[in-house]
Amino acid sequence: MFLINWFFDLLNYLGLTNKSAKILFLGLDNAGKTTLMHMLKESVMIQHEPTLHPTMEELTIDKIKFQAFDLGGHEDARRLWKDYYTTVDAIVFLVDANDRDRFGEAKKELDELLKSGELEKVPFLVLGNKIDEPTACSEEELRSSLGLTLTTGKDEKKEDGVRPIEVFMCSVLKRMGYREGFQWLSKHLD
Amino acid sequence: MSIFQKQEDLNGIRFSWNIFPNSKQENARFVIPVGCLYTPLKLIKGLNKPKYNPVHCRQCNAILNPYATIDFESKIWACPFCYQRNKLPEGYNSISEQNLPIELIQTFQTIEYQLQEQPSLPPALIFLIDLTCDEDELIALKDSLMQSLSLIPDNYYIGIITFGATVQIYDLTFIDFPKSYMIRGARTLSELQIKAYLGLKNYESNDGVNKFLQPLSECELTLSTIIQELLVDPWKLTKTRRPMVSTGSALAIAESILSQWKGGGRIMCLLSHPTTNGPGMVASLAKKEPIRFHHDIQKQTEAAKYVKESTEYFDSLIKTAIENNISVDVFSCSFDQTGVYEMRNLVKKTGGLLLIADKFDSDVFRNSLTRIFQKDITSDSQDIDQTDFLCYDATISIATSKELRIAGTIGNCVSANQKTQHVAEAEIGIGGTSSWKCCSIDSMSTFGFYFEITNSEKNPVENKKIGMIQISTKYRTPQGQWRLRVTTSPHYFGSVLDPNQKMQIIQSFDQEAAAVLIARYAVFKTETEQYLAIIRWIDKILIKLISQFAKFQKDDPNSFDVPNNFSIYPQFMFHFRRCNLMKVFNNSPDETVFHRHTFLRESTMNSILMMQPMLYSYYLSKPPSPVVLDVSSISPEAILLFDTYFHVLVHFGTQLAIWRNQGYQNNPEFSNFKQLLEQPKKDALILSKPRFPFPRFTECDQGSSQSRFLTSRCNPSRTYKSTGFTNLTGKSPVILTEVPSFEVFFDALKQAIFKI
Ligand SMILES: Nc1nc2c(ncn2[C@@H]2O[C@H](COP(=O)(O)OP(=O)(O)OP(=O)(O)O)[C@@H](O)[C@H]2O)c(=O)[nH]1
Ligand SMILES: [Mg+2]
Ligand SMILES: [Zn+2]
Repeated sequence: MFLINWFFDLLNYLGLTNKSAKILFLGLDNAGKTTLMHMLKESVMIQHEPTLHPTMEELTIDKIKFQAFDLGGHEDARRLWKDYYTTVDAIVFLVDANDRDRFGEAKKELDELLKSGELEKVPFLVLGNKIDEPTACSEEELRSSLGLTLTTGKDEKKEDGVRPIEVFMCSVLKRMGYREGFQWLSKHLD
Repeated sequence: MSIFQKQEDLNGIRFSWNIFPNSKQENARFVIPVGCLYTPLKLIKGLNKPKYNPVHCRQCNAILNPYATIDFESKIWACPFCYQRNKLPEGYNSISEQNLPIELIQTFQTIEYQLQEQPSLPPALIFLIDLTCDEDELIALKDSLMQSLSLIPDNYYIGIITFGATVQIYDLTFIDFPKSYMIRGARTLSELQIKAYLGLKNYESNDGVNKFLQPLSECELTLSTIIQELLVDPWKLTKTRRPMVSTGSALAIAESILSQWKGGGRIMCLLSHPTTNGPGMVASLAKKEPIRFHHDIQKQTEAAKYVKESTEYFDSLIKTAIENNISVDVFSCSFDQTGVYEMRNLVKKTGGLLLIADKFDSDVFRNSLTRIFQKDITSDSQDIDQTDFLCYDATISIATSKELRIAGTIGNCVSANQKTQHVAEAEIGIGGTSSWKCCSIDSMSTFGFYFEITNSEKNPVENKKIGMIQISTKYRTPQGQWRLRVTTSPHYFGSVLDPNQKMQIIQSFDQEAAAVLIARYAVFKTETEQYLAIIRWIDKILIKLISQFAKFQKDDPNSFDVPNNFSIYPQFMFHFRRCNLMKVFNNSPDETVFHRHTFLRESTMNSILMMQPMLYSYYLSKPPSPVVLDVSSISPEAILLFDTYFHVLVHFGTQLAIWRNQGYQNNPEFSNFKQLLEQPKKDALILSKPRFPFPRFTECDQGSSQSRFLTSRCNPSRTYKSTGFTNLTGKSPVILTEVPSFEVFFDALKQAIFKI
């Protein structure tokens, strides 16, 4: 179905489909979800408070409209995540690549999400954030820490029936890496 | 303590200017409006509470006060408001210069009359309980409710209504096994229908209503049984559906019952989910339709489709509530929104209390609920007076002498529609009246009043003239007693064009009160104006104010000198512009309403805290002290106590955290270290205790996830941009932000002033 997919991608790309994609920003607290959200919306780096109530912003990235939900990542607040699973089009899962102590915790939450029936077909963009930090881990280290050595591939086209998942390293601070991630994601949106 | 703070302690009042402009045009030169923040029921040490009724001026109705001129011979007093000469009543026959009643003694600008009136019925309180929370949450809620029963004054009449898909109204006359009426939540019933169904047809007596409202002293056991046996609503939430929640219907029913009760009272809504069923619906049952966010409300997207109708529904309950002195409190205990946004006017206009907490099983909820039923104690050498925090049925009225008019108030109340001679033409906030009504008021409730000068520039107020403002608040204690608190405040007039007067005017400026009055105004404007327009307005005032009162030579930017009384005002505005009272990013509509509502009910100093939090530092080597709210105050060797009013945080510097993790505090040799670790926590508790809402408490280490609560509010004098570093845990931590620091902001301010 190469042609049809390609056609829909193009539609999306030109911003012709009215429906905006519903995406969730998930990940442990302090991963950089709100920082990324603000950067995508206002192109300014700001220090935010930890997120309490979920919020939503409409984002346009490379002409594609997203409805992005930013959910607090604090342990207690994670129980809310599942309330937002219905009809989501993609998950953007952020990990602080400089916080090795919490890779295990991040993996646990990510695995929970991947196991969930409701998200079975939903594409996952995993962003390893804060690579501007000299001590941040490499993509390989992050992949192995999260158990994501086998992923879709950055250049692969969409394949039916398989959940797309891919890791991109980024730095919101330096404004790098996440754009490629969203480009990949948009190719895998329905 | 500033003289202004002393004034507040004595009289609960603080003015932006203590000398007033002498004409309308002069008013513009003062830049900041003449206004005051007034806490009518403020706990005042040694407050006089005479047990008789006040004497009123027969012309303007102002109350006899220390500024009246008394003719002791003829027993006549001249009203300082309208100059009417009034005869003193019989009881005053024996007065002389040496023998003055309390209300005529100059040192007491504030007194409280214990009115000799028939006591009213006690207030009633209906607990309106959303049963759609989960099992653990219900257990926590029950515990808190049981505890509050032990604190509520015995004479309160209590009722209990629970809801989910349906609404259950408990009949408290069945002692052994609770009986309840059930109404389906989906239908919108009229007041008449509800009353008919519940058998509340007898309008003239309390007969019917006694089934649902019983004095606490008589029904405590029944209530305990009912509370203990409450079960989670059987209509379980699923993966794709929200629970059925009929808050709208439940509120209408509670209101119908309370409107049969002649003593007024409150409906305390304990919510864990948004209204999804029946009138007032905020979100649909389908989770795939998310609840509205700021973006939806601003852009009126599809997700905001219920906002208008829902808000209109809750608004429609306001009129009956006010007529019957019913306050609606909302305690929203959930990690997500429950529709506080749609209920905001109902809570605000009825003088209700608002709280948002993560869950029922939290200190914020538990302590907030008990806080409101704890007695406040004012003690001084003569008497220890226990005052109830919550009082009812308040009417606040203002009288002014003829040079002044009242433009309006900004606070949680409604107009009582008294268009007297004291009312100004222009309106600020709730205007067009000189009286306001609050169904419920407490010892913290604070209102911002804004005044206007009537004289024109051609006919300015004479130099020696004294302008008078009198604020009187009639209210009722939970015991049903009527009280009248009266504060009378005299003021001189002046003009900044006269250099001598200008000096005194500068001295009379209370920058904290001024900043809060402007901030209140800004928050009030958020209901109708765009964020950027308001920011521009705030900046314009700041620029004008500083250029009017700072000293500088036009051609020498280094000559800039801001008088002490004005020096912190720019900082207040800098922090206020970026705090979540103004900004909504990373906040839900419910959260924004919560912050703004609380801001509009708090005293000057607590409001300042919300605008610009306090930071105190604790070192091993020196005594604790307040430090600037700046990233440079963060140090590996310091513990910081950070207070935003809503949130109290103890922040451990990196080095101290390391020692703490190594357990040095357990070694008796390092007892001073142990003390250092404990002191800020003790202080945090002292700060938190008197507050409603009870603040969230967090402990965290420098550079950790939770430290963002602190770093997001600090002045970013050191950033990634300015240093090239991203280090958060070391000796010179930075903030990862690109927004300008206060220094940049202040430079821009100076430049703007030099350009004028
Ligand atoms: N060095 C570096 N720090 C970053 C980067 N992006 C974000 N941060 C910092 O990491 C922290 C992340 O903060 P948020 O964006 O508020 O985190 P969040 O994921 O929204 O966290 P919760 O709201 O608690 O779930 C902040 O202190 C940011 O300044 C980055 O690219 N590089
Ligand atoms: Mg966040
Ligand atoms: Zn008079």
